[in-house]
Amino acid sequence: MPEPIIILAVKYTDYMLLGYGLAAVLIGGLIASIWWRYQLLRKDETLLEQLEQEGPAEAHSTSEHAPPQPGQASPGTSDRQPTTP
Amino acid sequence: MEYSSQRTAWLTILTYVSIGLVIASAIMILAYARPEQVQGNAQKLFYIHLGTFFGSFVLFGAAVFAGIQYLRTRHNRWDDLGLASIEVGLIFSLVTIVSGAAWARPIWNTWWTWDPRLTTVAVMWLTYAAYLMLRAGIEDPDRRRRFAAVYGILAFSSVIFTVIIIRVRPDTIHPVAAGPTLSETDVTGAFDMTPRIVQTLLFSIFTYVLVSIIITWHRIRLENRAHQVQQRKVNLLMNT
Amino acid sequence: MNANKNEFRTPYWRVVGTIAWKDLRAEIRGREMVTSMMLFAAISVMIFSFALELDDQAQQETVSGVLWVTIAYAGTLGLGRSLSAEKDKGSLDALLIAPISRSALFYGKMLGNLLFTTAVGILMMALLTILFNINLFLPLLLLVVILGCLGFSATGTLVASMSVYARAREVLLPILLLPIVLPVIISATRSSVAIITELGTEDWLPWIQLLIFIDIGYMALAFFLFDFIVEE
Repeated sequence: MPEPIIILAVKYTDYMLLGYGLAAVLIGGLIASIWWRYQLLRKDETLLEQLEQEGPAEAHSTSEHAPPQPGQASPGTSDRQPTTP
Repeated sequence: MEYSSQRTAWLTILTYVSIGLVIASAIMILAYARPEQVQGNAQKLFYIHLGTFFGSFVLFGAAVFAGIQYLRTRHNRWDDLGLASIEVGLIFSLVTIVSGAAWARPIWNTWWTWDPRLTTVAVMWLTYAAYLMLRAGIEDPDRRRRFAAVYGILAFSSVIFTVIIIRVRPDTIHPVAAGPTLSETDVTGAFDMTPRIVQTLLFSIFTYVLVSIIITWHRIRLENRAHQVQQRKVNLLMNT
Repeated sequence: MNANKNEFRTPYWRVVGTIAWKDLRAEIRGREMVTSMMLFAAISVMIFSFALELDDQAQQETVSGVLWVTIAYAGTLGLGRSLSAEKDKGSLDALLIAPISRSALFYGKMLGNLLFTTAVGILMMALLTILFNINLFLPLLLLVVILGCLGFSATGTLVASMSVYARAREVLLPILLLPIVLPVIISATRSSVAIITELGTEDWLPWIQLLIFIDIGYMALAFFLFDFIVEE
């Protein structure tokens, strides 16, 4: 039998693991949900790209506005964002 | 992206830094800080308990700031900050609550008790959950942002109440980590803070405050992205 | 309804008084709000006394909880009515156009709601005195009821003026309001328990001080925030 790590010999280790496990699940879940919503948006974006190519000039104009918009002052920005070229 | 590359680089660096800090603090908690005599390893929950509490405290404070800024400037980015920080803050305060419950089970012999401190934290959580309900209930986007800002400011009263309740009502059994302890006799589960415990604690608080800020930052970027996609959809529909 | 129309550049407190008086007169004429609040309160007390089935000692300790839970629920009922009636009849818009200060409008509505909630509170004191056989007519308790109702109607008027714009406003109001108003309810209940069980000054005074502090805080906060709720 391998020598037990000292930490596991201390009492209430199960509760510590439970607490940290739940914390990991919650924070991990939050990160996963943010990541998942990113993926959904990415899917939307590819679809939009296809649609924008089909209906050409007008829809394309959204991305033409990119240069006049100056650098954003903060990570939070307004609704009217130029799209990625 | 429309973000300056410098800003994105900062976010990337800080994201890796906070991952590193989480690992470092985990090592400190497990190996550096000695287990406490009476409470054993349950005491080690205390690091994440306080770390996430400070994280959510900072975020709920940021929501107040965002609310004031939104009402002053009417920039949507402040509304995004308010929403993102409250959403992340809700998860962080939930971690505070469940890690506390896991600690309380061996020490207080119960998962939950209606102690003033615990009650006010539960109410604080419900207040911020109500914030999300309010957002979901108002259809007009301009009004939603306005009301959310107002309620975000109002909701902070529950955070203040959580902090001051043990000063008004000293019969709590919840240990007080910072500031003068009012009545040592009533508190169950207090312990001596050895230097190693203090160092680990401060390191964990720093780590989890940073983690909460970085997650919120990513959440804001997600919100921006969603606004963009929404705008493109609207444009597409308008043009075809 | 148009009492305020005659008021042009009237002193601030006249406006507050006029709006509260308008609500009061409408209530005296229609009697729909206070009647339903009081009936609701009475039914709640019945349910509590059946559900709890307490002995004398336990009754003394629970009576203030029953008092405040009922005031909070009946008050929420009345608040929803007070502001949604105002909005549905379009009189809220008329009040907003009128040349009066927004905060005066808020304090007027708050004063009206305070009167109704306090009326329910006093009725509850009478009912509980009879049904629980505990004398609740103590001057200090009356002070606590008024202070508690003040905090309740300050936050309540503010939150209800937001929730009237929501889709499911009847459901949303208690969800939004009760957690915000809980500091008021907790300190009012704690001080009531201490007063009813005749504990020493040091047991109720801190709670009353906290209650006054919360009341002032919420009323000041409402002063700044109400403008943003009703703008446009």
